[in-house]
Amino acid sequence: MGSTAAPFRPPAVRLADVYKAFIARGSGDTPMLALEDVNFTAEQGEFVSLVGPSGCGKSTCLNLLAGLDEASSGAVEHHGHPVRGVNTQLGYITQDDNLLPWRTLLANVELGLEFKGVPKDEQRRRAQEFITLVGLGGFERHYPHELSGGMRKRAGIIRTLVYESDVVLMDEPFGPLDAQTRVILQAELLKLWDRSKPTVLFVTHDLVEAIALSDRILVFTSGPGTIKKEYRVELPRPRDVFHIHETPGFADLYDALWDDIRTEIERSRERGAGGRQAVAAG
Amino acid sequence: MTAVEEPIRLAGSPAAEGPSAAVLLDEQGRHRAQSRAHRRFLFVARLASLVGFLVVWELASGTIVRPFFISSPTAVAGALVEWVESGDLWYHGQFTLLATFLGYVSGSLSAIAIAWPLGLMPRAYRIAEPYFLVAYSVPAVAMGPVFILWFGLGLTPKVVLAAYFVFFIVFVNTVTGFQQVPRGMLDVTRVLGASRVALLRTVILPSALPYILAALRITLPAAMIGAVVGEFIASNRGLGYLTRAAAAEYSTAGVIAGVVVMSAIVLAMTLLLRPLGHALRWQQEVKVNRGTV
Amino acid sequence: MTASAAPRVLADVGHRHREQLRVDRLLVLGGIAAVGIGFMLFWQLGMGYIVNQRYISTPVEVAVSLFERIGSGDLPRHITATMIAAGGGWVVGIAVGLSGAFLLLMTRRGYEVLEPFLLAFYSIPKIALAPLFIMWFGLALTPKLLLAALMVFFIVFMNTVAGVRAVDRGLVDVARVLGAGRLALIRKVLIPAAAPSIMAAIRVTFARAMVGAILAEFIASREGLGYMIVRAARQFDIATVFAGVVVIAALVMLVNAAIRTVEARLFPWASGTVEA
Repeated sequence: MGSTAAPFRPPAVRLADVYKAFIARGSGDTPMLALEDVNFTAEQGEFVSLVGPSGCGKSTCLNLLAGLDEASSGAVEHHGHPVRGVNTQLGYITQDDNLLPWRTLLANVELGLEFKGVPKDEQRRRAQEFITLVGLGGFERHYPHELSGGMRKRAGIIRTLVYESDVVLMDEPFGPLDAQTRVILQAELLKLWDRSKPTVLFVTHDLVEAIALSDRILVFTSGPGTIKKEYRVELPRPRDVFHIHETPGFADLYDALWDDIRTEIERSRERGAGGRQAVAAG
Repeated sequence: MTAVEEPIRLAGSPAAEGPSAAVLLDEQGRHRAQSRAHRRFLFVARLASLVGFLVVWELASGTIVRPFFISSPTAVAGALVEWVESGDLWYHGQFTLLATFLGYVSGSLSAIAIAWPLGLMPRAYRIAEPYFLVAYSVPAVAMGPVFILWFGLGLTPKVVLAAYFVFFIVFVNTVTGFQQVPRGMLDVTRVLGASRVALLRTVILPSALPYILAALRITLPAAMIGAVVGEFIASNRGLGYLTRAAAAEYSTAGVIAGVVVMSAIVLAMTLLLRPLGHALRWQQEVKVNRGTV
Repeated sequence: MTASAAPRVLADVGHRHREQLRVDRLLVLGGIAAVGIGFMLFWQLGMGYIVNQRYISTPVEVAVSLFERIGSGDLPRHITATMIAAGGGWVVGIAVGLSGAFLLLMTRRGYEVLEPFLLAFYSIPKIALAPLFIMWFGLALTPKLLLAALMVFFIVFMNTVAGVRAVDRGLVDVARVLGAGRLALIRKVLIPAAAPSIMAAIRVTFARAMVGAILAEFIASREGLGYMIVRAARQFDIATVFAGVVVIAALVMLVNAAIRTVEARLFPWASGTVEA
């Protein structure tokens, strides 16, 4: 981790010895461990996927980096600086598009730029550029409820990307979409990513998606989550998401990942069936 | 290749051609004809019900049921006309309307002013909550005599009572509005760089607005009821007074006329404020908490 | 790899959480007490600036009046009178409201045709009918009961109709495909699905029934809490007026709590909100 290179540049994103405990609702105020001894970094320009069974803390990692929550112990760093308070320097794309229903598409996309004090005509220009880029041209004056699911999803994505932060967090952004739209949007995402190559942390359940998009894949264990294994995706870029299955190297990687995940899923199912074993020391 | 979803094209557009167009136009035509027939049926059925009701009422009075109990449409109409001609309707009506309006404005403004900070600060709300629960349990009607004792027989007690009726509904709904802002929306907007004030302006207020408007929409009639109740208990002016006076003279027609006037005003208020429900183009259905007023 | 720091972290977080709860609880209780004391002070010292000094009463005087009335048998008598009127009206209103609603829903086009009339009907301020009922039935129990019943009827009726009409179309369709006849449909699908709205309406309407009864008593009556209040007001006996209001509030809270516990036991799945 930056031990040989000179000059030393801190990784874009870093979690070191991170633990996170929550007070689970309805468990009588006993703390439950969501993340245990999590360590990973991402370098500038890397596309990293976080995969793992439900409830293993992948989204929590993103929340810690966004500053929406604090680690119970350990270091959470963005460009070498510890994250304090809401981190407005990075982009955060959530599963629900969370567009403001009372703003038009254009106003929604401009929102972040507005907050950051970008001049009005510059806001308009950049927003318009991205809107056209993803094929939403002509719908600027539409309200979110007038757009389809896929369109809203695109809007949610460009709203964050328009600021062109160098780190972007994405939490299962394509989750609620149908399979076909999902693949189409994956291709579009890669196209957008190519423009400025931000560091991306991408949480997903979909292994195919992870392989298609990323440079590296981090596999989480079931809760309390920790990094079980790390995989490098050696498939050449640019990736053809529509035919990713046929790319050499895909099948082996997929099998390996699936094996890992399956063990974790079984483990978390056992834990659920065996009654609640709060990993609490009281 | 970017797939862009388009809204469905209707058959009327020039883009549709061929046999498909014929089927679509046919379907559209049939649909229109059906709904036209349906609407005609509704209109006729409603008209018939109304006329039938009035006729039965008129005939029953004096024959099956004593006029004392139900009067008759003609008698009621007569009483109404008399009120209009004597100027009574306007004289008393404006008193009630004034009390209603003043109570509505003061009640809702104070409710919003208090609910706003409480809705934003959960701890402050928890402190105030037990007191509101207790005050809430007192039916507004029960405060009538108290207000009259305090403020005399004039306009003031009616205004205060009307405001009381309005206050709790607007308060509860405003607090709900501020507290129900979706967490995800707040989070994303904060990461986008919103300051506390900007968050209030761009997310919290617009999100709470439908609730506040919905409450404002239903409380206008409530304000009038408050004013009228005050007039029932003790007053020498107002529609409530007018109705009570008619009752004192055992004039059923007068009492029913009073009820009709008040109902008409409430109906007018409801219809007038209805656009408020659609004012916000993006708004979805909001359930209003009417409580126990 | 060193031993996991998990136990320490959990202990830390648990400890911090309990601390925070403690502080929070302290602040809230302190706040409630502060507000309460402030209010009492205002009542004692400040009220005089808004309202004529004669028309305020101290809590002690109110309590004294309460005890006197309980002792003389006055209060129990009035409470009973009002509760009978309110309770009776409540039951009648619910019964008629439910049956009326279902009758309307049975007809195929009934609701559609009558919809604008229902709106107009609903616009009638039921309170405005108080003088009418009193004129018809005099100073007895009947007008109170009727007014209470009427207020309850409207809410139950409208909420039942709305609740049933809001039942997910999908549920109805599935039931019909499975062969449910009209009656079975009503019993097994519509009623349970509409139950939350109906229960919420029933819960809220007791207070309304009280309002109806008390209002009737305000206008003309010989007994009951409303009567007690108005008579005391005329005699400028503020303490009793306040005492009456306190009793009413207490009754409403008691009955609401009672209804909630019954509801939780009988219908655990029902906890809707009222729309009427």
